[in-house]
Amino acid sequence: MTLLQTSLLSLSAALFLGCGGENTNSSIVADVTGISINERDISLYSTDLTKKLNATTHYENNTSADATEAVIWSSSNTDDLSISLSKVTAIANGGDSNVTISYLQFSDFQTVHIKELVSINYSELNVSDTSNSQTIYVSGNFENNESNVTMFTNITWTSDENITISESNSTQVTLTLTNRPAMLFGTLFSGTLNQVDFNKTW
Amino acid sequence: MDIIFIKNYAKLGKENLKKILLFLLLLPSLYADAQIYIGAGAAAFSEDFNNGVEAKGSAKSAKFKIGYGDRAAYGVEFSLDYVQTESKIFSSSNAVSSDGNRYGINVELVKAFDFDIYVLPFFKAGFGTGFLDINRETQKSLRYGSYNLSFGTLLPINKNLDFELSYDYKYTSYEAIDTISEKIRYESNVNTAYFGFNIRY
Repeated sequence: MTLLQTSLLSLSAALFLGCGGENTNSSIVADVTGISINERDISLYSTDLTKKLNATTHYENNTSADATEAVIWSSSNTDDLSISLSKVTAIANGGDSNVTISYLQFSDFQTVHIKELVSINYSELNVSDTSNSQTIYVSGNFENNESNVTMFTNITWTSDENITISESNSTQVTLTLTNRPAMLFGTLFSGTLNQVDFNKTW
Repeated sequence: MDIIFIKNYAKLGKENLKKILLFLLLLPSLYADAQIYIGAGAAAFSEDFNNGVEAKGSAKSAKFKIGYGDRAAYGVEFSLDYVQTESKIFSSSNAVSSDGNRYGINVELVKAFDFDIYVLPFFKAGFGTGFLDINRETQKSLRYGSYNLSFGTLLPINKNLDFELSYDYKYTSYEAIDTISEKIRYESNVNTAYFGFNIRY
């Protein structure tokens, strides 16, 4: 073995033995301890638009971060409450559903209550005017005596032959009364198994 | 067999035939001194993370490899790495005292030089992949990929045995850490001092 070879071997052995360094001893990324739904006591009216829920990831260093888009959302009763990502929508007039978030072994749930529409309030209609169109304003009376609640969606309006509806939405109906008695039909969740009818006669 | 080979390619024309014959003649001469070799060794491993991440790891590692080539010219080498990790960089704070072991596989091309100075300097370039055992709620291992570069020297003892000293560098990119809310990717520079031996057949 040449002097060069011997020198290189000795040098490498010395370097090798001398190697060793610092070691990090705590994770650079805090581990997950759980996930949760932010909202508590969740409820929505059966005539509400979608309601957005939010989720949070909790970490071992007591920090947290938004997990709304990351977790999987599901509803225990899809006949009453539909869920798309984190947005829940009532599809029945009343009922409770558990909304669950999950990610691997982590999960959390909250009960979402749909408030039942009991009756509809109608503003005054001039019944003696049988030639001009008039606009009536409507609002909802819900369970637990919650009255005059603004309705946003899920109501459709039809009538008998003595009323002509020219325009309508969930908060108002523009109609022409041509004869009496006249009947206006407000239908919640029209065309579904959960359809509920509310009638008004003038 | 050569005749059949040539017959099959005769229709390609004289020019093509000449090229094929030339290639067939050159091929054995290129690898006249090539040998299969196996090797093993130990290394001191040091890792620093990029992008301002304050984390370091050092450990002892072992490597087993198999290759084919001319010790004084070119070769191709496959290797298996094993690193006994002593640092805790990715695992949960309280679950374990260190990350688990790291296992890797690499493929590298070797270019060696014979300057007639009793040693054969070389460099290698290639890439690798592997995984690191970790202990997190969302992940139990972390895959990685690496670009490898190394240089060093072979110390031939005889025709069939040589020692190898090298400095190995790996640019390592890890699979994202899953924190549910966010996927975080880390990259590191791995420096390794290697000492081993190769047996050639």
